[in-house]
Amino acid sequence: MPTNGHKYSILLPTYNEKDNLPIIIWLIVKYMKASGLEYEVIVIDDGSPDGTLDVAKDLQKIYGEDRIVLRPRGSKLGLGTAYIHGIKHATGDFIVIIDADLSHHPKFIPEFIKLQQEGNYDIVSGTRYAGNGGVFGWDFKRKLISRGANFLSQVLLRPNASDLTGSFRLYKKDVLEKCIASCVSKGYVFQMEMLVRARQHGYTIAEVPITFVDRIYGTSKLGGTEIIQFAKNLLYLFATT
Amino acid sequence: MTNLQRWLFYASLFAIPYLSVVLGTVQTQLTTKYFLHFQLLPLLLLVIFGIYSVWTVLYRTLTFNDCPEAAKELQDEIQEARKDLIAKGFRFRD
Repeated sequence: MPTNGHKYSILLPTYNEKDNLPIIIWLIVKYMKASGLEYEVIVIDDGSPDGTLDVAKDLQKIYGEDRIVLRPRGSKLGLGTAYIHGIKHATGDFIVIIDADLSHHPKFIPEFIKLQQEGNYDIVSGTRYAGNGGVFGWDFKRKLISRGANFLSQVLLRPNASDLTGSFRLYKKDVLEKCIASCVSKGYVFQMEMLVRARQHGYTIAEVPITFVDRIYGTSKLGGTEIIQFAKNLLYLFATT
Repeated sequence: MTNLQRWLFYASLFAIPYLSVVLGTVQTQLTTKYFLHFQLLPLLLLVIFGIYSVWTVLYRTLTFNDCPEAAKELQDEIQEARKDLIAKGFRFRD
């Protein structure tokens, strides 16, 4: 794919990702270079004690300051504000949001872009629940919880997307700004609210099936409090949107 | 209209004719003959929806793709990335 006149800003919020950051950036560079598209990677590190920022600085020396942009913050302030912080410094007209923990593979970014260009969609969302999408590293219980929560949110919120809680997405910059501005929830459920707000605003959403490889390094974060938070926010969105 | 309002709207579309029969405001030959069935209708609908939900979630859980090839591909690329980055002068902190 030749350069299409657009620039893609890839936001990478990090917290203790010193092992994953070099790999994810290497993969982003590999696939974006092959696509020929204009891009930048914005690393938003929230004061990781493991030295993620130093790793990012080393990578910046290798790939250049125009490709790897560092916009660290002093302490852990949450995902929503990390995106706002990243958007403020983004020079692209499209924003890609991807997790730095290697669960999202950057090879899908050019697919997102291709689909977006075909239909001029406002949002392209990766989905684990449709087509050839899927998840590696989940047992039956984890899959059941995921499918159950997804079914419940589909029934109650009727979003125009099959994967509400995933966070691997491409947004038009102004669309992302508007969605974030109308979101009230924090943390894990924030991603779900983003697509619900997108539906409210009448934005178009397309989907690309993605494979989700669960954390090779580090530990998973889904616990009892996350489930309660999910239920509370689901009911809140059900009653208000 | 919020999702909640939409649900309440559909519920009232059902509840108005239902209650008018159950409470005896509307009486026809048919509703008198099948009165018990009519009374149990909400329960029946609830059970059908429950079965549909459980079946859908279980089916989707069992057909959830495992993608071992994606994990394998990633592992290989991680090795490739490490070699390439080290060759570029990057130092891994592990």
